[in-house]
Amino acid sequence: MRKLNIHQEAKKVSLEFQTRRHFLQQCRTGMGMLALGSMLDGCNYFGGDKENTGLLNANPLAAKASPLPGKAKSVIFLHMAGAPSQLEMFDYKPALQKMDGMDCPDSFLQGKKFAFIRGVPQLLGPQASFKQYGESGIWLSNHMPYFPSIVDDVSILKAVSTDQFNHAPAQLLMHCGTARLGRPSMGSWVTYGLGSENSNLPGFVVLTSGGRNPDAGKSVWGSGFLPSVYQGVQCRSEGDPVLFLKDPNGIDRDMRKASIEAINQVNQVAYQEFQDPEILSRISQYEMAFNMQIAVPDVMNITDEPEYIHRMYGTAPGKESFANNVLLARKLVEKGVRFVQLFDWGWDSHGTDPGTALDLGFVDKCRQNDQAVTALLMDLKQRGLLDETLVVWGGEFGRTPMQENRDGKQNVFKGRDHHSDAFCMWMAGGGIRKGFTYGETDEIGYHAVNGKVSVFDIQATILKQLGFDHTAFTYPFQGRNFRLTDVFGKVIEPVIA
Amino acid sequence: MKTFIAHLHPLLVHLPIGILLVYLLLEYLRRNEKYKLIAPINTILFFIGIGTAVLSIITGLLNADVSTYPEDDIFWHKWTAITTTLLFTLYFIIRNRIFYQPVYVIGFFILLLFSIVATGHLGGVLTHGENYLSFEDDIQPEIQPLQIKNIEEARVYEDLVQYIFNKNCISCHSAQKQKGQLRLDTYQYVLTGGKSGQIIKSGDIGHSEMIRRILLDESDDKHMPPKGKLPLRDFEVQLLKWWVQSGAGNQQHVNEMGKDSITAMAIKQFHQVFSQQSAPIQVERPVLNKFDPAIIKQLQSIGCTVTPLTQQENYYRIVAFNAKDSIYSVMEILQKIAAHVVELKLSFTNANDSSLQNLSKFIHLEKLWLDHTEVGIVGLKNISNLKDLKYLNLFKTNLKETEIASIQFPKELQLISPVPKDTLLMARDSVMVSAIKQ
Ligand code: HEC
Repeated sequence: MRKLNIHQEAKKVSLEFQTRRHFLQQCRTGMGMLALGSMLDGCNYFGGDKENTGLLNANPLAAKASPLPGKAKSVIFLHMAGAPSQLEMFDYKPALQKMDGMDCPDSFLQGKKFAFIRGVPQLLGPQASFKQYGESGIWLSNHMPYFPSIVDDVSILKAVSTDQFNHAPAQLLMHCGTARLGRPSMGSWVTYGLGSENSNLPGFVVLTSGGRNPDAGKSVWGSGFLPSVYQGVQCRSEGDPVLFLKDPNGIDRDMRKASIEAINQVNQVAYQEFQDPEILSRISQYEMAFNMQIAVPDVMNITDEPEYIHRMYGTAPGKESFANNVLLARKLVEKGVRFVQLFDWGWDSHGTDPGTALDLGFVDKCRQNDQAVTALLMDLKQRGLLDETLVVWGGEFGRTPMQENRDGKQNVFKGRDHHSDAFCMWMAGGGIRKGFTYGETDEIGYHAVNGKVSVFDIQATILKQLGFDHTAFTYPFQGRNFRLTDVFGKVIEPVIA
Repeated sequence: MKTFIAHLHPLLVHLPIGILLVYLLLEYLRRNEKYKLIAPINTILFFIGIGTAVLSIITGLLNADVSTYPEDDIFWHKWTAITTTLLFTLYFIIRNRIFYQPVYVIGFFILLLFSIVATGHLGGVLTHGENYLSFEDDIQPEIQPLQIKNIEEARVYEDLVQYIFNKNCISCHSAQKQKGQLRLDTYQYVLTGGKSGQIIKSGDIGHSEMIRRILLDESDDKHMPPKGKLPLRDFEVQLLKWWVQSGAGNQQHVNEMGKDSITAMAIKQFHQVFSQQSAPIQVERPVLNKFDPAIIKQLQSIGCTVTPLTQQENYYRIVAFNAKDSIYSVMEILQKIAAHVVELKLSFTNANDSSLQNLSKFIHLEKLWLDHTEVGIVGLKNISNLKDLKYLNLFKTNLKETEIASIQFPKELQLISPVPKDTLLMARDSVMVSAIKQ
């Protein structure tokens, strides 16, 4: 064979990497390793702490102690899907009012990407009037006439930031700690860690309103790699609360019971043989479904709440509404449900039509939200539940100080584009500081200037209040320990009482 | 006299370590034809080495007697020392037989080397502590609790800023170590600055090198304190900023300086976190004996949720939402472990006066939920000697205000009263009224 010079030889070697022979050769060992991996118990052979997974306990939803003392026992997470405008609710920017209609300075646009804004947009002053309320003197807009009465119970975070500017990934980041699919949601982590105190109800309930599920779909309450018992159970506030729970025609409750017992016996046997945790999930789901047949319709029925409660929340039984869901959240928490997740769709105020206009649809949204949310905090308080219930309110990101100019043309109605650098959320109850604001944005509400917190910090804080150290609360999967906050997050200590 | 000899140990030990190491090295070289002549000298070296080793062991044993080192810590040092000496002797005896069998002799060398290093190291750990020999540059100083009662009267520099420096910075910026030619152990040095000049421009946080450094991203090389060291907390950063902003003086007291809400908050947090007095007092509960776990099984089998308060404690939270039996029988079982129950949730159950008759046995009870139950005044009277009770929920019970008023409750009890209030309507009215007034 002709002698190759060094260049030719390098080329030959690199070409060899692309041959079919090479591919098959690599595959052979590769596949072998994969098989070996699964034989070694998915890499958990060496590191996995089985005790930790809680799966040895026959009932995966049995209540468990938190690793550290925690103030909160339950969480109600109110997610305003679509991202409400902080500039018309909590973040008062008089300077922005003065700059209304001016071209946005270049410095804000350089190197930035927006969902819809193109070219140079104009600044848009606050479409609301603001006043200070409560002993804490917190600024609130006139779109929230009720909120002042509870403002001294909440901590408002004014400089939350995220790194996603589209709804679905941002929602995933908020709830699952990553913008990509496949990780467990916060509610799943929490029920996995703490179990449930009411075996007749799901530990993690999801309620949606606003006519649509959140953009990220059901993944935002999925259980990812955790056993599927920890997945959120979506309940409907209209019709049967949980689908397929009713006994089929011609089957009565005793028969149902007998058949579930028989099925579970078979499942038990299968579990003894294969030790697959998903079988346990299945067993407990059958049992729970049976118990839920009675308990769920009971707790999900708001018609027998007294009249004053309906007036307070602004509820209208029989319809799907945010107010109904908020009242349900209170009822569920009162009965020991661990994590209640609400999604209310319709906050995406781009200003493309009246429904998304800041001075029209958005105002209605605020009003509905305001009454129900205020009622919730008051009701929890008068029932003595607020100390143990952590209420979190927020969207997946915020909105720009600029008016949206979709494709370079000013929108017909007043609206704002998605904004990820600074937005507002609040927390109340569950050991959170009362009547406090944390964080500040610049004159026009574009960047955080101090007290900036990330979505991971919010997650870390929620876990902390429930009694977890977010850096130690892990689940082994595919050879590494995963946590909700991945490798990020810092507890927001100033908002902890 | 005994103590004197014993205290020679730390001095003596260096002799055998050094000599025996040299002996080993020479033994190794001796295998080369060129150095064959070393042999007789090395024999002398061996005897000196072994002699001092024996002396070290004797003084060491004496030292163990007179010193206060815990027996356990000494154990391994003592036995590795003795083993090392014996191994060397063994080697000396059999060396001629194995000298030309590389596997044995090299193996032996490694063994000897290892054992001598191990002995020395274990001894060092005894005198200098576990962490003395580490790859970390320095060890965090211990944090002394703040000794200030009223934070408003504290001195801003001395008590707050210097405290933070002492805690987070002086391990690298003091007389011992002057990284970046900067010292932060006294006010004068702080003003002087480091290799790039002054680190503080009073009243201007934007141009203060120190503030710039602590605000940098944590992954930045220039971030202070460097990655991996005890980081500053948000409220500490806030305090440092506030101090520089308001003149970076060393005279003012906290109450003499203006502050915004975030700073006020930071000061409060600082006080809470670092002073022992006002740190949130953890309830000290007595340690209780374990009880028969069958009781928990029994409670669970009748539908109660039994959760330990934390993973370590022997105290429990009991929730009886799903109790299949009457609360009366639940309480019958529960009273066997009454002292272990700290939180008891009987909400939405058929709890009534007779089920609560043994309540006074639950001496450590701190939280009790009786909301949505049928308890009456008779049952409620049983709580009067529950001294630890901090929370009592009577929402939606049939108790009357006057009945409740007749009971002597423990101090500082948070009582949730039975009557629901239409608070929202009231609140809205008051807001409306105030809005109209303005
Ligand atoms: C682990 C050691 C270490 C700790 C702890 C530490 N530093 Fe430093 N610091 C250094 C080193 C090394 C340098 C010089 C290298 C550089 O410029 O980054 C330095 C430089 C500096 C400088 C710049 C000095 C100059 O004039 O260039 C400042 C200011 C500073 N440190 C402040 C602080 C403060 C404030 C703290 C406490 C919150 C702190 N450091 C804690 C290691 C440390």
